[in-house]
Amino acid sequence: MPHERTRRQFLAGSAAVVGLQAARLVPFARAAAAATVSVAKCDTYGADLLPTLDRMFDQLGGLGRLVRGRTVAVKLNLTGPPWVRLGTLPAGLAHWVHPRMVGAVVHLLDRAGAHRVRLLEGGYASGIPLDEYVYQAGWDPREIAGAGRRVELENTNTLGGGKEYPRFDVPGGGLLFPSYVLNPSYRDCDTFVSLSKVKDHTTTGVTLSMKNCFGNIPTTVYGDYCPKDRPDELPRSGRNAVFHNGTRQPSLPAVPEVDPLSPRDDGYRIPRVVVDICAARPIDLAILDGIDSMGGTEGPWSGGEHCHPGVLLAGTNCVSTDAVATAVMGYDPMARAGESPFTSCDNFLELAEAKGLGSRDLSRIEVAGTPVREARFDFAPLIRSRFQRRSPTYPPKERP
Amino acid sequence: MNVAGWVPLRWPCGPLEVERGRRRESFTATEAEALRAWADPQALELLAGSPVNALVVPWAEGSAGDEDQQRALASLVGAARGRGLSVVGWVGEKADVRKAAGAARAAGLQALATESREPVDGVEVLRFRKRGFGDRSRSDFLGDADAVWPGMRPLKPERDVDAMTGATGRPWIDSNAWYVRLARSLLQPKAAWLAFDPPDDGRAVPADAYRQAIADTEVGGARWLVSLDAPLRLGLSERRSEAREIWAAIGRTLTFFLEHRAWSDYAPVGQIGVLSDYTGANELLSFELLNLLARRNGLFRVLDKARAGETSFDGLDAVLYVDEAPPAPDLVHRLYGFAEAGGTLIVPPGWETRGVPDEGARSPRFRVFRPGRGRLAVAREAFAEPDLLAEDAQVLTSYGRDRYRVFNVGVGQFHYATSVGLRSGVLHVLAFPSPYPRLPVTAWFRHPWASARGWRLEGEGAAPLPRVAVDGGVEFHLSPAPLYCAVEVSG
Repeated sequence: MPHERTRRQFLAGSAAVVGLQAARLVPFARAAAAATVSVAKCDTYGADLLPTLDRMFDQLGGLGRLVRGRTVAVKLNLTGPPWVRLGTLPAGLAHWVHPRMVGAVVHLLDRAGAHRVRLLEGGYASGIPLDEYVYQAGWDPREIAGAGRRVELENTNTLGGGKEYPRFDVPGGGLLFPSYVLNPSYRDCDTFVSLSKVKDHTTTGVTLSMKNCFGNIPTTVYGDYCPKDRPDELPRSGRNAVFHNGTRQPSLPAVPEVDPLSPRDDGYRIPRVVVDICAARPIDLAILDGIDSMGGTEGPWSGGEHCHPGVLLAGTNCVSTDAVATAVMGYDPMARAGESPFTSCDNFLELAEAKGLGSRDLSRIEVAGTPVREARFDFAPLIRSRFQRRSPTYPPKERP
Repeated sequence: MNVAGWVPLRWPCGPLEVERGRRRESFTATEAEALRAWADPQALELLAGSPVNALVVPWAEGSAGDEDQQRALASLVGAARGRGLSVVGWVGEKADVRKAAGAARAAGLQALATESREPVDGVEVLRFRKRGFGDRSRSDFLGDADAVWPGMRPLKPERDVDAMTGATGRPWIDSNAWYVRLARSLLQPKAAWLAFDPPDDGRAVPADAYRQAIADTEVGGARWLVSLDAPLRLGLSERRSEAREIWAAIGRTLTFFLEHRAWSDYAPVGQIGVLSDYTGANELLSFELLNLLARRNGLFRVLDKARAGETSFDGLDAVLYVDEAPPAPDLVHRLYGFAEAGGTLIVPPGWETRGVPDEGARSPRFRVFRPGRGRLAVAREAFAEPDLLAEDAQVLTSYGRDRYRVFNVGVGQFHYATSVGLRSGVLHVLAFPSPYPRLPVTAWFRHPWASARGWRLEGEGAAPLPRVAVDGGVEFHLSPAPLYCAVEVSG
């Protein structure tokens, strides 16, 4: 299909191209203690989406300074197998970031001068090319690729076209692992974007831009069935054994965890992995899709129900962005382990803040656009739809 | 004799079966009594209201007890005939088939069933055979003696194992449907029976496992020689209610597929043509490839190299040439022509490359070229791993060309077949046990079917399904899938 035609088709269905609006120009300040977070109401993935996103990026200082002339990697949030739906809803209206959202972001990155946009995700238990993977969910990757000039899709469960897995050290030492090996695309990008859904999560309380990056980790090295001495380039599973339960160590060339005597409970482990990975491969831009989503949990396999918060968020500091999003979800980003939504886990925002990744203190975060109180959509009632699982053993009742 | 209309049931009884049972350590006096009881004509009361209309009884196994067996069954055979049942005598491989045939004629049996190749006159013989197609001689009847008990191998979830997958990335499913399609395609029998027995592990087999066994056989267009496990037979002899419920469920499942026999005349939708001679050195890879393509719910069409000249590639998106040795020049010519006309041709190493390299292809195990409007994928190394080859074939063909998709079945097997002229079709959905709750199911079709009805084994008839037009096709929505359901589409 001719590129230009596809691109026009995408734009026609999404929105008219809008000019840059010089709304509020807040300079990018990567890894600042507390950066501006843009919040906007957006009711559909139709005509309003592109101008709304465009305005939000303006509120952050414009995309150009972040992406012009650079290779931009965008980690998509496509959790779970492509053949799972919440009821009869397409994944993009529930637990996956919506394809039109991806297309709109690609278009704006391209228009802002990105040299190349590379869309990344580790498809569940799969090493097939990412464009083939998303076809199975009913997406047409050609439409997404057609939204920009140089757009690639990469399944980061494997090496892809790379020769070896680069190692990403966690600055100052990791909370769970001292370093992680990832697909080379995470190294080869100049700007890293996490594009996630706004939704609950059974293990970590919420899924936002930081939790999305748990999916950066290749199951060829960290999967359940990998041999010990080398990666298995045919992904066959999730990452339960290494991360959730800690019943095995990853394959070489990954290094073992910092403390093999640490708790084996996923409520302890997963928040720490999330913080580690966001420290090792920092997020330069967090974008959150909360137009249509699901509440109660992160995917239909754990229950959940559809919701329509009609909200978008973006920010250059992932901790601050996720903190504001947590507040928009009606939760308290300052909540301690054991408190909603972190009822059976540590608060990864707290761990990240302590690690110096950013502030979760709403009083220190400037919100541009729609105030939190106006954007708020309470997710807590949706927990009712979560399937029951074992009684939480974490956090322990008696905590130091 | 209309074997295609028979619904057969193994009817183990008599002294031969008792003798065979005694070779087992765990064999009990109660089991022996049940086997004797089933030789009594009164036992046939069990079949009242059942669709079973043919009994397969032990007839000879080449032992001294053969004549006793045949004498002991005389009244049973007579009573069965009186009830309009056909009776088939099973003859073991070591038995003298001619002698068994003489006794069968005298006793009034309709046919013998055997794996023996010994020729016999005067009695119809239903020949069962081991899997393999070295012998392509055609016959109206095909009996598969190597069939497996179908179903998902039990998951043994450990704490460190993701419950959604198994060691090969997905739970292992045993199925005969792929072989039935292959055999029907190569040998074109009018009737195909599969002989397999329930697992003999001392535990009662649940009704769902029987339903699954019947469904797996019927969706391929074959018939199961129904075989009941020993605890069930004992339970039926003792008229226990749980046994009678399982037996009733078996009957309802058989009836369901009898009432939908038209579906077995539909042609399986083929997307990837698998071209092989399916024999000799190519048997293992080609068999396993079909098995694994089916397990991945890929749509394949069997292409027989021996009849390639009369085989059409119409409607296929891809042709996968499996065999190491290249085909005859005229077939090579046709295959390249298929690729030049827009298809995807997937071949082992050594084939001449044509066209320009496809820079966009990201297939580590293939070099991909664009000859004309299609694609040519030449393997870098000899085909070896069938699961990888199945995955590669699907990716090279592209999921973007899917003819159907099914959402929320978890571990499932799907079979999609359509009538001539695409006037109607059926999508069989077999759902296997899952650690997760059942979710509403969506069936997506590229063909814009106008309407659909949902069928269940235990339902009260067809239910119209809501139709939703979506980009590139239509969707029909069903309530959570039980063990089996069918989406019958039309228009």
